[in-house]
Amino acid sequence: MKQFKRLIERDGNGFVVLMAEEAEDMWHIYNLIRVGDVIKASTIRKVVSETSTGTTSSQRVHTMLTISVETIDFDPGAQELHLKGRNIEENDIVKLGAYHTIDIEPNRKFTLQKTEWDSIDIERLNLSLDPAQAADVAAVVLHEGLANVCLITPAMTLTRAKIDMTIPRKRKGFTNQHEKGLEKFYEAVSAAFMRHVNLQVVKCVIVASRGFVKDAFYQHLQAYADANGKKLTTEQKSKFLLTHSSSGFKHALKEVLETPQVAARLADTKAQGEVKALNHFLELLSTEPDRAFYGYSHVNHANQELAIETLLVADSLFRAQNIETRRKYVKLVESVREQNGKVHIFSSMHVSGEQLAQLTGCAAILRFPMPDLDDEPMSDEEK
Amino acid sequence: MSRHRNVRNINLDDEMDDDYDDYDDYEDEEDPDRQYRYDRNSLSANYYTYLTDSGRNSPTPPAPPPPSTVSASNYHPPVSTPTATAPPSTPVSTSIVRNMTAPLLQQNQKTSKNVNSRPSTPQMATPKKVQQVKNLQAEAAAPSMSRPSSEVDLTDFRRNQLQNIAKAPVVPRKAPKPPVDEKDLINLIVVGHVDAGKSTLMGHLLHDLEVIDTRTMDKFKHEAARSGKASFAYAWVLDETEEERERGVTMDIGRTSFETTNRRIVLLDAPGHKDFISNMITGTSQADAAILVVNATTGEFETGFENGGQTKEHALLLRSLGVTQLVVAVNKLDTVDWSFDRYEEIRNTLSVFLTRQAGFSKPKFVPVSGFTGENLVKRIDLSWYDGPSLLELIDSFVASQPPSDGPLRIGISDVLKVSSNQLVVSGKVESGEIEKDDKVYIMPSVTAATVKECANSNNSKLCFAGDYILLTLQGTFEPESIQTGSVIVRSGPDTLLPARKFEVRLVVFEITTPIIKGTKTELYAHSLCVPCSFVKLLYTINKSNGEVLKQRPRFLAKGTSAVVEIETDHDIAIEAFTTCRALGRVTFRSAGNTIGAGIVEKVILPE
Repeated sequence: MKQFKRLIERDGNGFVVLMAEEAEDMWHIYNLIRVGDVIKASTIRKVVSETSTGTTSSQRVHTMLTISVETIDFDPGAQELHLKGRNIEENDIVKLGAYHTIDIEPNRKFTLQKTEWDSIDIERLNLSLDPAQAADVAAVVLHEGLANVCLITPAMTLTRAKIDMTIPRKRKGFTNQHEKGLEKFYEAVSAAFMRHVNLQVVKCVIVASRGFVKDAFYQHLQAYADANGKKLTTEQKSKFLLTHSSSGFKHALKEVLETPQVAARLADTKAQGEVKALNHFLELLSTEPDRAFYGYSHVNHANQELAIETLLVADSLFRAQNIETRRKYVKLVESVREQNGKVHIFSSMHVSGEQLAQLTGCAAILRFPMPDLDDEPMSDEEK
Repeated sequence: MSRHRNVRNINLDDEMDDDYDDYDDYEDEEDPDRQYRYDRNSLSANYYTYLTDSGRNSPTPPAPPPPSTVSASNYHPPVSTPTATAPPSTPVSTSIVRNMTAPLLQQNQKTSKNVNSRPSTPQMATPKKVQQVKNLQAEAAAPSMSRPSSEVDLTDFRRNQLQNIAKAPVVPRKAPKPPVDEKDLINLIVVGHVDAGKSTLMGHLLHDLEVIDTRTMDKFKHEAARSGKASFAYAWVLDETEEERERGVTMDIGRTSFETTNRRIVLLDAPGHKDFISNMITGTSQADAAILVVNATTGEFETGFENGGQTKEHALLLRSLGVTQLVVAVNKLDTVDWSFDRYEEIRNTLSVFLTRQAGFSKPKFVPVSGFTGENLVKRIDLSWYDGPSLLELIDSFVASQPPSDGPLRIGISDVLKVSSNQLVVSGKVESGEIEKDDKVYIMPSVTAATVKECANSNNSKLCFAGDYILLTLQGTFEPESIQTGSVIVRSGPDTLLPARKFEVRLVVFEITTPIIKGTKTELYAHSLCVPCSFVKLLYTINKSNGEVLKQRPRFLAKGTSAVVEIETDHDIAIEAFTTCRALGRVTFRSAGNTIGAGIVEKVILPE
């Protein structure tokens, strides 16, 4: 992401001028913009003008729109953000109060103004501006008949293609049907892989499956690339990492990211850190359940006792339409930080984040056991 | 979709000439990209309309429906109407008729929709209103929100369709009793740790029973020796794919059948490798009895039994999948010189585990050698053993399942061929009976079909509960919409309604990370394997007396029993254990380990 200007006052009021450069940035922007914010960007509008004689002519005009956002719609696949709201700055073409939609895409400059930039916002803004972030990782998880081709960026896991085919099982005397089915399946996965993964850009390609499927697929992929005139170079081949997963479902990615082999290769991407933290939480839940709690009321209670060592929060909570909800969680995060607690904000686009979101989106590892907390009822929404 | 249909029309002649060959041609016609762009969720409403139009009209003469069947109340597929039980004259003529009349019928429907009052197509009055409301809401949301609204229509339609199937009157049974004079049918599964010698043991047994002739066996021996795997020769009888032979590992269930003096046996040879447990579960869900093979070689039994080995996991899975009869074959005793001490050591260790932990009542033990072939058919001459041979034990298994009187349920375990109008599947009849010309539905895709052919391992045309059958179905099939794990049912009040949410009573196995709300696992039930998540932990229960221990537990640690609510991504066809035992047993696995097993208490149907 590029930042052209930043002017944020002490009280949190202010604006920034930004330009997204890649899919990852769009995700950050999506997490920054909330209902009530003011967006200013240039768009193209078709203007129909009528002459005195009654003939009409239409023109496409570049114009600056300033809207107060009312709805936000993010399309992670297309890397587009559609913002809808009322126009608040009149110009020659657009009336005040008219509803308009601004589409934000990579390489389009825009201004984002907020009445209140809180600590989470600022943190995310700075994070998105950090150019030192790791590059993408491609991952293929598969088992016989099912494959997911994914791209893992620091903040997102994007499923680029899902191949789901029935493969006839082996049957007495008809084994070639099974083999033919497998062949077709590998062909489809290879085609999807070559189409969606740019081997020049990705840092590493993880191929994970149970049994021998990964090896068979890797061989097939090489043959496929060769046949299509895109023979894998030695350098590209060195990017491949074949590892074990128990199935080809998307949630198997979590266990793939846990394996030490992959961990070493990925160094410290955000996805990995999240998986680690969540696993620690789960481990504690089985070994020392009095130190692991989830649900806002439990976690908040623990926080009041200054007990939180690590806080896990899903970023979906900060996208809450309700300002009160957001403030509640921002306060929680800030207070944990004040006490020198660690805070992990999970991306809901990752597999681990999906799981945390199911788990009320808020969990904490405590410094010391709090057995009494278990007896307290959870609030209704958390049930 | 329209292109799809065109393709079908072009190929119509070929299809009628030869139903088996057209599949490949058909595939070639398709855009190769379609294979991975295909999304099962997004079947267009158009497709559903087409599907039911043809499904409704194909078996009976088409075009303006006779007034007697159009009355609003019994407007459901004729599959269920008593008049429609007559078979179509020839399959060829119906398919021609269907293709020509489909558009005409749709027009017809547009004009006469008030009579039909079937809220399915987008032109209909009621859904349109809904859609308008949706659109108003979507107006406030975003431009791309318009797509979900059409999906809402689709689910509405689907629900209506399901209701119609459920409301249909029961088709009277023709032959409720299977013939009694036959030998009892036993579905026997062979399980055990990898390299315990399951395939070899069974291969040798089949050879000794002369199911496999000596010439074939000699060929295997020769070929195996040539590729440097002489000891795998007997395993090749069941490991048929090239990959399995090359790697010397069974990867999928090997299936064959033979007869003993008193029993008809369908033998399922399960893979032992940890990675292929999913296949083993599929096989076990069809089995009545099991042979657990353990390797007696020094050190090998221990690796298979101690943590990480599959002996324990397989035994627990057998039990939780409802297999109660078990024979333990202590294999490879020739490598330890038929040592009595070794046999006793293994026997003692295993019986404690099998009776105490797994809950088998009386596991039997038999010393064998699969490679050299001792004690398989003929009794062995040993100083310390004068019990029955393996074959005699197999012969003594009892058919556990009395022929069921329940509604028709067939779990599809393999889809062999799909073309646009024909489907070849195999599966086990869990309850009910089926024969040629029966009208059935395939859940969860709600596809109507007619049985063109069915045959069990005995080549009998009428198949009953317990049979493993091969079915040829006729209808209109969308490729990939029918998968292993689909279930074949009949219409009527006791039909199976697919759902996404279930209440499950489960026992948690040995796990390291506890089950919490939101845990994602794989759900196994009959031949089905789908991802699912635990959405609610309802309460934990006392194992011995069923008392509720704690409401809303925060997590489920190992060894606990609990009632939970689970949710799958798509509709699946499983039902309450009390309705159908085989379709009500579920197993949960995560990261390659079995984390729990249980039964479906309740199907939570959408409102």
